[in-house]
Amino acid sequence: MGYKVLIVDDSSTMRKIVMRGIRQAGIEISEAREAGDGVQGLEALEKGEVDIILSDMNMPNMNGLEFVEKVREKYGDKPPIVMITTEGSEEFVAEAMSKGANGYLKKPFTPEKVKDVVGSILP
Amino acid sequence: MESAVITSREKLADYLAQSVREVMESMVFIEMTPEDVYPPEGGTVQGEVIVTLGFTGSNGGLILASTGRNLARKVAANMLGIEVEELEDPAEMADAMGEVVNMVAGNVKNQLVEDGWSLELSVPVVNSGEALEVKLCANLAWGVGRTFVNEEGERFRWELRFRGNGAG
Repeated sequence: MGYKVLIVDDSSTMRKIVMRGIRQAGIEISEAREAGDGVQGLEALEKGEVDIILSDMNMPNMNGLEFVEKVREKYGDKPPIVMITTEGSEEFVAEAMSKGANGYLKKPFTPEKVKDVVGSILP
Repeated sequence: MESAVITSREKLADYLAQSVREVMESMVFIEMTPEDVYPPEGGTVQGEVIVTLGFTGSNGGLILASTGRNLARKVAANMLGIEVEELEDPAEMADAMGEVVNMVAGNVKNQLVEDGWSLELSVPVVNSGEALEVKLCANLAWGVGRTFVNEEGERFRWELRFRGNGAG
């Protein structure tokens, strides 16, 4: 058992850090997929369902908000999406949530914060 | 007529110090102590690893970070959770350094936006090589520079440069 996770971030370093943060938070991963931008993220979703998506905000080709919109258009309310961003303003959070995000992780973050955010969203 | 200053140099220096320390301690696990604040010096920056990231907006500018290859490799290795010797691909160091600057820039931007600035971030550009020299636009004359030092005495130089006079 474990969760299928998709990490979407143009930084390979951040993808590794996020994955490590999830593992350090004690959340078991059965399948880890990675994508470098929103376009690749949509392609990764075509390979099968995931339990949660963690997506960066600022990415080339398709940014995080556009990616959330596309996922919601195509797949509805599932899977839950956590935005990863340096932005922490109320305006940004409101916009991300209005597009269909379920939570956000502000960089820099600790494994405890990953656990709080991801753990509160996963069943 | 120039607009009223809404962020002083002293405040900008504090924003930079707070952001660099937070990112370095929480994501890179290296404690860095800020040294004296200085005004941006001249139009060129030299180093082995130089990262720039632009701020667009009404009074745009850039953040610049430069350091030596040894500290840059430690930054990348720590972020990836591996030993420095295991770092084989130079792209890993570039990616990690770009992400550090991205996080610091995002934190500084959030604080400036709270002051009333209108800014957006671009993407980081990482240059690495021996005896690099980066020339900066002459109109980016207002801002602060600050060097941070770790326990081994390795230095990480950061600058925030903007057009105008701190009017946001």
